Amino acid sequence: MTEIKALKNEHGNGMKALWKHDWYKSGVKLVLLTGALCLLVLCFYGLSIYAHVGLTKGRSYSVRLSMDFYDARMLPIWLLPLITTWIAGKMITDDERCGWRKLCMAMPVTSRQYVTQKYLFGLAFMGASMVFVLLCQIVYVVWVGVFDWRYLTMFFLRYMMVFLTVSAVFTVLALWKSFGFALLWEFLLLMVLPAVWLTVAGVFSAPRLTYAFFRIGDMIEWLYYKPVGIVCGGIGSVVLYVLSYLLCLKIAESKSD
Amino acid sequence: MHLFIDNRSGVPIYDQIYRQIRTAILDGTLPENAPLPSIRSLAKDLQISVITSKRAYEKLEEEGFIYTAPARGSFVAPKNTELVKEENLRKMEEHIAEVVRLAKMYGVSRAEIDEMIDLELEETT
Amino acid sequence: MNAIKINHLSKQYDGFRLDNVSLTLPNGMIMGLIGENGAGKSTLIRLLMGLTKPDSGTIQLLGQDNRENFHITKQDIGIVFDETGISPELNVRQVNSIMKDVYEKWDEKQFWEYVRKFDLPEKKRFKTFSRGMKMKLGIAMALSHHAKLLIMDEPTNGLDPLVRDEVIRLLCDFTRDESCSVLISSHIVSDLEKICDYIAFLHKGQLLISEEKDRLYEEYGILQCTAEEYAALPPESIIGKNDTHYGLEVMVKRSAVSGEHNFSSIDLEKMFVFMARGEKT
Repeated sequence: MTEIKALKNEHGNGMKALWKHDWYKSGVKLVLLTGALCLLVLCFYGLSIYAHVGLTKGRSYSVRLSMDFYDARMLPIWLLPLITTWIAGKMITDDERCGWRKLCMAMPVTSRQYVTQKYLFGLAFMGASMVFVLLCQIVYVVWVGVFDWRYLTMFFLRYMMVFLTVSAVFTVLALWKSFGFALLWEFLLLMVLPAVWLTVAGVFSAPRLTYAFFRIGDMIEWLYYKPVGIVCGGIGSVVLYVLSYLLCLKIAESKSD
Repeated sequence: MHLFIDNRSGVPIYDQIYRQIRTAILDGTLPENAPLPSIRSLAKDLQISVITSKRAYEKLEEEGFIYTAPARGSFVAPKNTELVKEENLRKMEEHIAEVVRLAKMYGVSRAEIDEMIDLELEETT
Repeated sequence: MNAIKINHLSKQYDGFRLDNVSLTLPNGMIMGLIGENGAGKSTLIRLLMGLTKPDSGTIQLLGQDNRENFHITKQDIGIVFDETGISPELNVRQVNSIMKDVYEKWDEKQFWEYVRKFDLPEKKRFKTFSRGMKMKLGIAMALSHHAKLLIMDEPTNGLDPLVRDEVIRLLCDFTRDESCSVLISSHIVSDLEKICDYIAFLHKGQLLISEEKDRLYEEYGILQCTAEEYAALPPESIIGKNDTHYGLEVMVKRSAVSGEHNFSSIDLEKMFVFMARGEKT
């Protein structure tokens, strides 16, 4: 609670100013760009659904799941988390380049406020892409006419978790890179991720899952096909994002050029 | 009051201000008890350092040309006839020094100088 | 109270060291920080504003240590960097809207007055501004929240003489209030020469001098002399010399040379060059 209190200035309203800045800078443009991207993806998605439906009709649940996931025509939708995190990262580097961050630090804006606002901003992007993904799934479901609750849950959850984890990873990397912290951290992070997964695999004690680490394909299968995996993936991403935020805060506050 | 600062003359700025205000006081342009601009506003109007203008005022006050009333500012001090006479004599001395210098340079004798002075006095009376 | 008080400040970077800098700026004064490119002026300002942490030493701004509750002190500090820091997509209206939330004492009326005075377009994007206009906006921002201390890092770089003159005027007006102080860093010495009360010379991370400007003119002078005359000067009086092949130009401490000498005029730029170069020709 004190953390949140510390975010509000005693005088002035730094957070509001930071949000205003980002909104003025690219808010409208981003909304339009994202809207255009969504339309584009929807078109491709629509086309692939159209082609895809015929293939999976009448097949069993698990077959349909595997086919959906690996269908290359579904791939355009993967662009979204990548693009949104790239946009988030770019906006931050722009701020760095034009000296906005330097100015903020010289104004009554604390580094804590600045970092928090950027992370919330990244979160907003992730949230937006997940909402969009959800919409795509609803379109699919409505089109295909499948209302099996197990299938639907797995279907929705799977895609949501995919985007959550991919978005989280890339947003974290983009944010860290953008704040100008050493590249070293990016590699450390990538090394931490497998450790996290392995630990979780150990916690749920299935030796097969440990071996999954060594075969990325198998890992995806576990993470995104089993309910347990999906939940872990989701929680893991949230934890990753929050940890990254806290570390980022700590470094920014004690930053010695 | 007119004040002109010449940045390039080599004469310290505080001195230029001091001299000009002193002259204005001695020849009556600035009457007795006339208020002077505050040290700060003078500095800012002339775009010079506050320390410089303060110094000029301090010198003026030291020599009795101005006085400062606390919280009211600086004012021209009542005329001191001694000072006025001194100033006039000083001006003359300056000119005399120049005359003597030129006389030595051109080899003009004392008698010739006296002649020139008499001529000038006659013409102007 | 002192506007700025720096005590034994040191900061080490790769290949550069800001070494044991101590200086004081009393309230209501203007200090010019002069130094060549890379002397450490920007580093010093970054340290002042808390963008970087020093290796040792303390900094007090407006009587407050800059490590404690600095974001409160910053409400009273106006800052102008040479890159204004505004995103290219923003316009002046948006800047005003943002600053309203940053500074508690943001004075919209004053800001618009400056905008009108500077002839800045209200709705055009910042990226269309010329360098002079960008700087003017930065200055308008710094002067519109009733700041008590104004810190400017190379604000006149790349500006034409008209704009530079305007900036000088603005600084004079800002300091008419005796509780307002200015620290301005530049390597264009002529800008600072007129209005500064205090001068600090920074060279290769060392503070060569921090003094009342008038005292500098009294303390130092330039002698034009022959080699023999030069040899006759007491060594402790010599700050630096310049061999023009037609004679020697020597900067000396006036008090340390005895007898009658004809000192030629000296300006801050010359002073700085002599001090920075030292005894070398």
